[in-house]
Amino acid sequence: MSAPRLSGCPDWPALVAHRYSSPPLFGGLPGGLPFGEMTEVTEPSEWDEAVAHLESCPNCRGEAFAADPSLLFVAMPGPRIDDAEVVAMKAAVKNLVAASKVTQRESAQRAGGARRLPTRINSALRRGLAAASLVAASLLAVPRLVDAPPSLLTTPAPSAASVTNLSATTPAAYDLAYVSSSEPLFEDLGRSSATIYQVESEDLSVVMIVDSSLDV
Amino acid sequence: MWKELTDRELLERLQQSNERALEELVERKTKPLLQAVVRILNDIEEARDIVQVTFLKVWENRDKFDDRFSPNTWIYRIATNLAIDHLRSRQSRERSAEPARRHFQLMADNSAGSSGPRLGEREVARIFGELADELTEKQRAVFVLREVEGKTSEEVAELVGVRESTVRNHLFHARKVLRSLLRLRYPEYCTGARERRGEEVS
Repeated sequence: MSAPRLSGCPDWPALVAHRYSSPPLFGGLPGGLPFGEMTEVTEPSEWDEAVAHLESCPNCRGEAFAADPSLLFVAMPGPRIDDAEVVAMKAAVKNLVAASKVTQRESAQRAGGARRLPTRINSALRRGLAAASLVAASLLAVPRLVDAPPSLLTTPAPSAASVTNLSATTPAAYDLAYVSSSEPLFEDLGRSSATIYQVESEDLSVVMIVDSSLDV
Repeated sequence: MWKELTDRELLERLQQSNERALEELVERKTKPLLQAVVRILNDIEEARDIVQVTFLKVWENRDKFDDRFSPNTWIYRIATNLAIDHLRSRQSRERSAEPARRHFQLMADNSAGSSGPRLGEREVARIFGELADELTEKQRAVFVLREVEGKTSEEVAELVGVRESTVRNHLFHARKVLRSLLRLRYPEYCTGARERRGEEVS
């Protein structure tokens, strides 16, 4: 048995009738009008006022829900979002934006042509080349190696798997790979900005990977 | 100073790559965006991810903002579309029980110690989460934005990226489905009897 409607309560059956009796706007659908006969579906002018009333008046809820059960969700509360969520969101978004900038910079470096590298990357590259040169020079200074003239080893770009096997190779005695900063021995391990240098001798094998895009 | 800027002024500064403007935007929009997206997805954790990505997309596409739209509508539109796409990509409908449970748990955590109407509201949220899984993604988003968030059909059309007529069509079908399912599965709610008695629904 429903509670008696108070004088200020809307006539819910009449109010919600349009929500289900009016056909969908697109014709051709089951229950819809043929194309060319579509009509606008609008809420009655007093609808918003009625919904506001529903949220505050317990007396007419029974009639309203009986007339349109989906009204149950109209005043459904959402989760409480406290200030800690906002603080956490700010931090998360800041990190995402920072990561996005790094990604964009890397993409630009890969896609772009000659670019001037940042100073600190330049100096890292210079240090790597200097180290390679020092190692090569020290090996050249060993007397017994004098008989073996330095020779450039040029090989085609190896796959990633083959690079890891380099240290297992046993080059001919006294063969020496001479490192030149402008003539890297191996290239293109899937990182276009990386250059690989190898220095090998009977007792020493050094492989250096210099990647100027690594900002470490 | 930042608090006094309008959304449009904030977006102008954003287009100048001012990250302080983005921070202010996050401050203003996090709560209402999370509210809306949680209602669409029925999962607070997924909603957090969606809202984070929304702000990232706002930042990355700041130069593409069409000033014919309001900034608020633009941001909400990004969030709504992400939420709809996320609904589509959900692997299994069996997951629907878990988000509803998590939402229910969140509501329980928030209202620990309260009684009376608050308990009934938790039940309503749980039921919506269950029944809304029977709607399409757009029907669900349209229903939440129009019926629960109270946006106009015109606003919802802008947010979802469809015509107003399509919004009304989605709404019509969403209401029909929800009404049918409520009468079938929860007939006690279709009379309002429990509401009048103020009973807690276990």
